[in-house]
Amino acid sequence: MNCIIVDDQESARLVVRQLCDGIEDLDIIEEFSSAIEAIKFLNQQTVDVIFLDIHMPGFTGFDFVQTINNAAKIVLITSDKSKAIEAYEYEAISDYLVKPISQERFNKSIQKLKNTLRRSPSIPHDILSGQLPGNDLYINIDRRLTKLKFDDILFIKAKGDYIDVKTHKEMYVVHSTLKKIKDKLPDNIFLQTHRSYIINFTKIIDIEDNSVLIEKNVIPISRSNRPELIRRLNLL
Amino acid sequence: MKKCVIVEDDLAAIEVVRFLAAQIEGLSVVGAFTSAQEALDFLNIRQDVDILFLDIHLPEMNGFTFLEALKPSPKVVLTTSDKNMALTAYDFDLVVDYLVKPLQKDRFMEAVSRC
Repeated sequence: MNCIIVDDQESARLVVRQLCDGIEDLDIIEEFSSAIEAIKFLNQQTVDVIFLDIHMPGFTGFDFVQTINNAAKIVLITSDKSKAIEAYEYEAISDYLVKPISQERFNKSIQKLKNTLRRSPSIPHDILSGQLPGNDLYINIDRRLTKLKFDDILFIKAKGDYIDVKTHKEMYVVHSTLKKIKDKLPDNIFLQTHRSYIINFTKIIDIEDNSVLIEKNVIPISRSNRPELIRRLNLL
Repeated sequence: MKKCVIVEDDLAAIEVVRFLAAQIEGLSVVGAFTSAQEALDFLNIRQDVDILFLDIHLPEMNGFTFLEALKPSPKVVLTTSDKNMALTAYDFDLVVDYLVKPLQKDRFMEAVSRC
């Protein structure tokens, strides 16, 4: 798992770093003293875990959770015991650790994260999906189920344990696989062009030998998927 | 179909949870108990329960003692009037949500979607 640490105090970041040192498969890829800098980073990069302070200058940890558009799980690290009830409002918050934190409690939190990341459903639960209408898809972004109309989706890109769902205005990072989302999409509109890409067929602007253009995005076409794409074209 | 069990010391509270659960397609209440011990006996035998709605303050034992005695591992949604136990709840991996009474439908549905 990779993680970042967001805390305005250097000494607090050091403590988290030391706790992380005891965990074999946990890599700290960045640390931030500023919540804003962390948000900018998260807009560009996916991480598995964010260790987050609650009280930062001008920005609470909860503001942060609401702002990021990222599938990361969050572990709050704080001296303030009073916000645990509020933390439960956010599905992305996996744990709430109160300083001083023992290595044992930290290890337990990491184990919980591993279990959650393994089973985390990114597309809504069967219970909910049974109630959904047929022209849209709900994606789980933190605690919110965000509705995307099929027609608004340009393409989906696989990225490790996550997928990027690109619309005209937004890029949503969702913890899921291409196969799972493919099963939810109507195949008269969507087509897999590559092992890492599904495109909205209706959004194609032009096609070259091994790529299609959708808005300003060049999407690869693999040799094996090309015949199906050509078959669907209304060729003159 | 997800199976759930309700453990509340008060029949009216059970009915509230039952009412909310009935509005979620694919969720079925397979047991409701006012006695923590009876609930434990039921859950420890019948290990196919997916979700447990559990009050914290029960007469025979509190919800956390209950969880320590529980052998299977359903997802647990705590339902309570006590806002002060949320920090303790984070110590229990099975707990996926903490709902404060009076229960709200939207919040209840979200808790189920987390399970």
